[in-house]
Amino acid sequence: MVDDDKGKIEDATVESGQTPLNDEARRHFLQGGIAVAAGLVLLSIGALDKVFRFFFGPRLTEQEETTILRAHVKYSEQTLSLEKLELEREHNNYIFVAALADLDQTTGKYFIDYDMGPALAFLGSDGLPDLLSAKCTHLGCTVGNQTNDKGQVLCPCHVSYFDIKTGAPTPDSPAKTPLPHLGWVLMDKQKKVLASRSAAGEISGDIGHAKQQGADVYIQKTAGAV
Amino acid sequence: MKMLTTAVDFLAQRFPVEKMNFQSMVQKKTVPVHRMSWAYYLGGLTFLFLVIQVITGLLLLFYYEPTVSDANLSVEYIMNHVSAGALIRNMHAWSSSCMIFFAAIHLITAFAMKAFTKPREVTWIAGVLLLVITMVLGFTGYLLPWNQIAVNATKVGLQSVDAVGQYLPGALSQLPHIVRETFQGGPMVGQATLTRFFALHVVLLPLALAGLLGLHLLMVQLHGMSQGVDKVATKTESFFPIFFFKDLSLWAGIFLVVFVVALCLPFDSFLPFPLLEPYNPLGATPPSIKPEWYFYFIYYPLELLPFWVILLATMLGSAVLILTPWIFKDTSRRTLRYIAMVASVYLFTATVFGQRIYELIKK
Repeated sequence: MVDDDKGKIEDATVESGQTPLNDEARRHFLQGGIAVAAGLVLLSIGALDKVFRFFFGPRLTEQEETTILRAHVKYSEQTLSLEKLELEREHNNYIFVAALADLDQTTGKYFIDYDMGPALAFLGSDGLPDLLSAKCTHLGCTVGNQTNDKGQVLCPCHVSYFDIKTGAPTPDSPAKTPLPHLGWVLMDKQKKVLASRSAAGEISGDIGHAKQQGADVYIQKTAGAV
Repeated sequence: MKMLTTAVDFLAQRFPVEKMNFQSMVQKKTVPVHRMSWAYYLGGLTFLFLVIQVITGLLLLFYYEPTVSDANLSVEYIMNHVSAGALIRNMHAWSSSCMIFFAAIHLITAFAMKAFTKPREVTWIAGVLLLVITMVLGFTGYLLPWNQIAVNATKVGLQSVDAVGQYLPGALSQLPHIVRETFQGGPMVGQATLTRFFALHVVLLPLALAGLLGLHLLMVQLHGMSQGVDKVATKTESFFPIFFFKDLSLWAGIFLVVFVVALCLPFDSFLPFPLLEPYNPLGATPPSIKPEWYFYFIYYPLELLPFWVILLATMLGSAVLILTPWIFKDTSRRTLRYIAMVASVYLFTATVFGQRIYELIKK
């Protein structure tokens, strides 16, 4: 029986030049090929639809358009205000920081110094402003404005702690040099200078009177600034 | 005259003109088959991720706006409104990490297999430079969404360049400062920085990468795959079509994985803070700020050790990497494997356990 079948296969091979096994393989190959091609067609339709819509651009609702426009205006104004700050620093000899009454001992107020760098204004224990650069002396990140229970602010980039009174980093901080202190000027509402302190700490003017007057805190342009 | 002859001989051996034909570079090329053969696929995979980067990067250019007022908003627009925008950006972000990962593994395995010896010195040096460019592409691309993390990370990176100046003598000490200001484009990180980084990220660095990659691939095709193991492989397979189609099959599988991951898992989902929080110049640096994972190997040591130690280690490491073909010319593959293993263990530990080690030491 087996020999007969073998004989038939051999005959078939001789007649057609191919074995039935080859035919079957070809059939599977064709079926597989058609399936893959169909899959590719479907995938292409899906992909083309996405691709077309990608290049065509989104169709936004009115509300979405308004939200995006509002955000655009907000960020543009923010950028513009920074440019105004830069212009202000180029032309003004004094820059407003905050009202003395608004300063706090534990939460510093951020402001931009004459070099367009970040700075912090605290209220010292003597009731006078304490201004220091907020640019970390390690690698330039902006330090935090909240003091811990030791009166230190943190630079989170490489974890340096700085004492806000002295500006000095703690010994185990990667930063090795203190945050520089900035000088300040106290003025009344008519912009009359009442008192001032240099970056080195020298005080001039009537401090007691300035405190009572509800003075505003300014920084003054120095020879090297801008 | 002798120097000129030596230089000409050196170039002739590295760029053999007689082999610069299709038959020699493709048809006759064979790939050794041995226990380290898998490493021959790593360069191709890195190339696949580069292709994904180029295509998705080009698509992102249709909507991205490189201005400080609109950069962040345009990224948000891509993610939330553009058809397949989130998928494209996720693929760009995921494949950038994959590209750096596979480029690093490719370099380590090439070192362990001693694939840098004569006449493959140029291939090695081009490869090292390609890895550096890839990492700089990662650094420059990081700033483009203009968020709080990105801008502060860029400040740190640029300030690191500036900090080098204190260790240089005389007038040279000003050089890093000039370099930093050139890249920064102004007294602080702002619009000029974003414009410069954008130009670097989408034009200059890709051009440099394309040139070096061309050289690297030409060298690989000219000199063939390195032996890789001490015992000469008895079995080989043809580069075309066998290895080539195996490579393509692997690419298809990996592409599918990246595609599905990008579809299901936003790259930002691993970050402890919203990536789309726009940069505010009057805001503090966010707590737990960190660079991308591929900089951890240098970030954690920077937190724990003095800057000069890191600087010295970086300079030494870079010099050793560039001069590897000459320094390790006579070193056995066994020793090279140990060195590669030590380097891998360090990179793995610093990347995966860096934070824990840092906390343990600081406590």
